[in-house]
Order: sequence, then structure tokens, then C-alpha cells
Amino acid sequence: MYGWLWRHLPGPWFVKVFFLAALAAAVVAVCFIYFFPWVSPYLPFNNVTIEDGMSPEPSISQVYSPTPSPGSDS
Amino acid sequence: MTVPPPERSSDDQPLTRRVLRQRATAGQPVEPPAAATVFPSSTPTDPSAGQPVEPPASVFPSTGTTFPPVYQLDESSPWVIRAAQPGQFAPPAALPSTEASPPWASQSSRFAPANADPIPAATPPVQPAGDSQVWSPTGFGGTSATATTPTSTGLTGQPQVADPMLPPVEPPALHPDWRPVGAGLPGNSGRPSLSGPSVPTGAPALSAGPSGGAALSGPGGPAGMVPPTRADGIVPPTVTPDGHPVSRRERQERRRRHAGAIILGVFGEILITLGVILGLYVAWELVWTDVEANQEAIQVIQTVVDRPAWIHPDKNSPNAPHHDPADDPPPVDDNPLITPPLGETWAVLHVPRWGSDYVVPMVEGIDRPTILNKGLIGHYPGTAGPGRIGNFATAAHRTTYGKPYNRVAELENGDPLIVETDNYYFVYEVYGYEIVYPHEVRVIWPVPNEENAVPTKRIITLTTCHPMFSARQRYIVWGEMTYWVDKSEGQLDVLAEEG
Repeated sequence: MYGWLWRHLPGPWFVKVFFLAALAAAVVAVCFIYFFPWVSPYLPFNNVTIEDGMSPEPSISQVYSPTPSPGSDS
Repeated sequence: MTVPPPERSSDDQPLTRRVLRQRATAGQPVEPPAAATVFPSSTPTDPSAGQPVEPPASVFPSTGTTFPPVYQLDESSPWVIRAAQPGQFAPPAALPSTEASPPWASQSSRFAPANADPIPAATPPVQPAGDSQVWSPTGFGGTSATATTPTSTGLTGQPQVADPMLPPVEPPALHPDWRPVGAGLPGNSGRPSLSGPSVPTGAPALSAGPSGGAALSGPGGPAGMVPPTRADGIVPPTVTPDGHPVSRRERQERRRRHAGAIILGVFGEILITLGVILGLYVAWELVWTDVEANQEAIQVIQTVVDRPAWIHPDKNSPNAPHHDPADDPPPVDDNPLITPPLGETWAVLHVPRWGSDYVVPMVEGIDRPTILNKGLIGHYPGTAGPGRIGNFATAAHRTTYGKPYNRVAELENGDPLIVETDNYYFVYEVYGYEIVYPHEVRVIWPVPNEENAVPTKRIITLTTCHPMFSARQRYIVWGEMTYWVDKSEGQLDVLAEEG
């Protein structure tokens, strides 16, 4: 695969190295900007919230008891 | 086939011509400058004997007529030269024809088989008068010379007894190609010897084999060893690129193994690539997300402290009075339904335990892509706001994305959690923690763990993941507001002490 790529890149070796470096940088950029942020929510590393079901809001409203405090001001 | 070195021919030819010229002028045999061994070996009935051929580099003797073939030894390039017919072999211009003695030829023919064995280099054994023999201009290397038969079966590089009975081999392609090399010298009868050369080193005949192609292709040089090489079967019908003979079955197996190796190699490369991408993901997750999130959090803080409502306390009066919320509640609306829009910054959080420089915005909403992943602390919508009665529930990353709650486990009871809003400092005091499962929403109830209880205290709840790098559980820390400070009255002493 990489051998094929190397053989099909034009120019002498330093030009090939340049192309490969540019290609690697492009791949890394695409991964960092698009691919990794997209795949990150599907990975169970960073769920930090307390949730009941799909969304936390219903659970909050379920337990919320609107009791205006006497200390409230305008 | 490889092209013979051009210098070989360029060196040989002038010398040869010079020698021939000398010989012509002297009218007698001329000894090679160094030493040339001439082996007469003639097949008197050679049909091609009369055809003049003069290789440019060295003279290849005809394979036989009445003229004895001459084997020329060269130190640098031991070519077997067989002398042309004496009367017909002529140097290019100076010598139209040289004196040849047919008796000598017969003598040499008798001589050749008997003297097929190596002959000392220093002895130019047969240099009969009237010779048209050609010798190496550079002499030969002092090793033994070997006469071989002018046959196609003559093994190159190996001593071989000349067999005058065998007809001379004249490859059809070789002979016509050699003819133009003779430079239009009709008198030349020299022909490239098909027999193996007398080789000082033993190997040059083989090496000379490829060079014969160049001789065929043009006046390249004293090549002409190809036919014996082909004929003697040394070169197998099939060779690998590196020159090893292989059978058909071996080739098939090699090809199969080669294809398997290619597939396996590509598979391995894919695996390596996936591994590198996974490593990149880890690096992105652990490092790059922090970099990005911290930058965004700093920008958010900057916008918060720059907004007009934000009061910058007077640093010269660090001892602003503490207001007990029980006796002197902060002037804020306790209605939790009155909340800023999602993404609006409520406040910033200071935690001296986590460092004097710890400042993280607290933003409405717990959406991960827009809030939590930007290094911000999210506020559960519907829970109490900062400083209000109820549960000010927050969530933030413990790892990656700026990890605002990274050191949540270091908090101890009594540690202050300072929530700074536009006008006030709300100072909470940590009073407990718990590790729960993600669905246990009781921890963010207005009164934690008490369902439908009417809140009377001002509670802050920190929720984050637990264990680190896992979503299995949640780490919960509670704090209760102990006092608040009006920023217009001065700096908060805790923050002032922290610097």
C-alpha cells in the first residue's frame, strides 16, 4: 500500500517525502477537525452528566418543585 | 546482455593495428608487447574461413581453415582470438594482407590439441612467421592460457581440448554482424572464435558472454562469447531476477508466496495505519481537546469580565463583609425557571483547592458539543441558579476538553467553592460527596436525595464522570453556601489571599 504510494509519487525522493508529509498532515488534520469530534460522542469516555433517559431535562422537571422562596427579589 | 566496456575495444584496436603494422613492415612475426599466447587450432574445412572479419577490439580468429586459430590472451580482457587466415587477415589500412604460411597452419592444427592445456603466459608458443595472428595488445596476465575447440560446445572459461574434427560453429547472427566490423577489409578472414577463450582467470569467458551481444549489435568490442555461453547450457532457461535458476514449479510457488506476501503486507499496513489513527485519537482526546477547550474557556471568561454588568471588585479593599444568606439573603431571584438562555454564562467558578488561577465559566446548559466540550462548566437547566435557594447543579468534564472537574476527588469538606457572578461572590462549602450511577438524578434534586422536598438551603452540586475516562458512574460533590459577598463592597478575602 505504502510501497505503491511511494512508487506512484512523482519526482525524486525528497519530493516524494514532501508529498507524503503533506499527505500525512492532511490526514491528521481531517482526523482532528472532522473525524475525531464526530466519533467522540459515540465513545463512552466523557459522559459526565446525570441523566434519566435520553435527556436530562425531563428528569429535572420531574423532580423540580417550584417553590418561590421568600428571599426572592426583583 | 551487458555492453562490453568500450575502453576495451578502444584500447585493443589501436595496439593491434600498430602491432600489425609493425609486423607488416618488418615482414616477420611480431611479438606482442607483453605476451600473447597463440594457439593454433584450425579446422581446415571451415567454410567461413575466407570471410574477412576484423573485430575492432581484438581479432577473433576464424574457426578454421587452413589457418591456425589464434587464441589471444589479454590481461584485462582475455579474449580468445582465433587468427584469421594469414593471407586474408589484414589490419585496417596499413596491411592489406599479411603473409600467411599454410604449412604453419597445419602445424598449428596439430599443435592445438596437444597443447590445449594451460600454457605459460610468458611463452608465446606459436608465433610462426608470416603470421596473421593477433595477440592481445596488453599481453596476457601471466596465467595459463587454454586452447579450446572452436566449437559451440566449447566451455568458456574452462580448459578444453581443441578438437579439430569438430566443425566450427558459426552462429548465423554472429557472423554477419561481425562482418561490418571488419571495416570493409575484404582480406580479413578472422572470425570470432566460438570456442572458449583461454582464460587467465577462468571466469572471464562467462562474463564475456553478455558482452557478445554488444558485439553483435555493433562494433562494440571483443565480445563474442555469447554463443558458447548459450550453447554450453550454463545459462538456464529461466532465471530469477537475481540470476538463480528456478524451475517452473518453483516459480509458481514463488509467485504464490509473493502474492500472499503482498496481501499480508497490505493487511499489515492497514493494521499499522489503524493503530496510528487510534494513537492519534488518544493524543487528540487527551491533549488536543484540552488545548482547544482551554482556549475557548479563556475567550468566554474574557467576554464575561468585559461585559458591562460585570463588577470588578476593588482589590484595595479585600475584606468585603460576608453576608450570611440565612440572615441576609442575596438579592437574587430564586425562581429556577428564570434562567438565562442556553449558552449564557452565569458565573465563573473559583476553587482555591484547585489552584489560585482556577477560573472556569459556568454556562447554562449541559450540552456536550456546545458547552461541556468547550471546557466550560454546564448548569443543569431547571435547577436553581447560583446563589439561589435550591440546588445549583453543574456538570463538567473530569478528563479531556479542558477537564474543569479533573481534581474533583481532591476536594475536602470545608473547601470553598466560589461562584462569582456579575455582582456577587457566592461562597459554598463542600460538605460531602457520593459516587452514583448516571441515572440517579436524586443527587441534583433541589434537596439532594430528598424527593419533592422544599429546599431551604442554597446547594451547589458538582457532577462529573467516574472513574476517570469512564462513563460508568458519576462523581458527585455537594456544597452549601455559607456566605456571599457584594463585589461592589470589595474583594473577596479568600480570593485576595490566594492572590
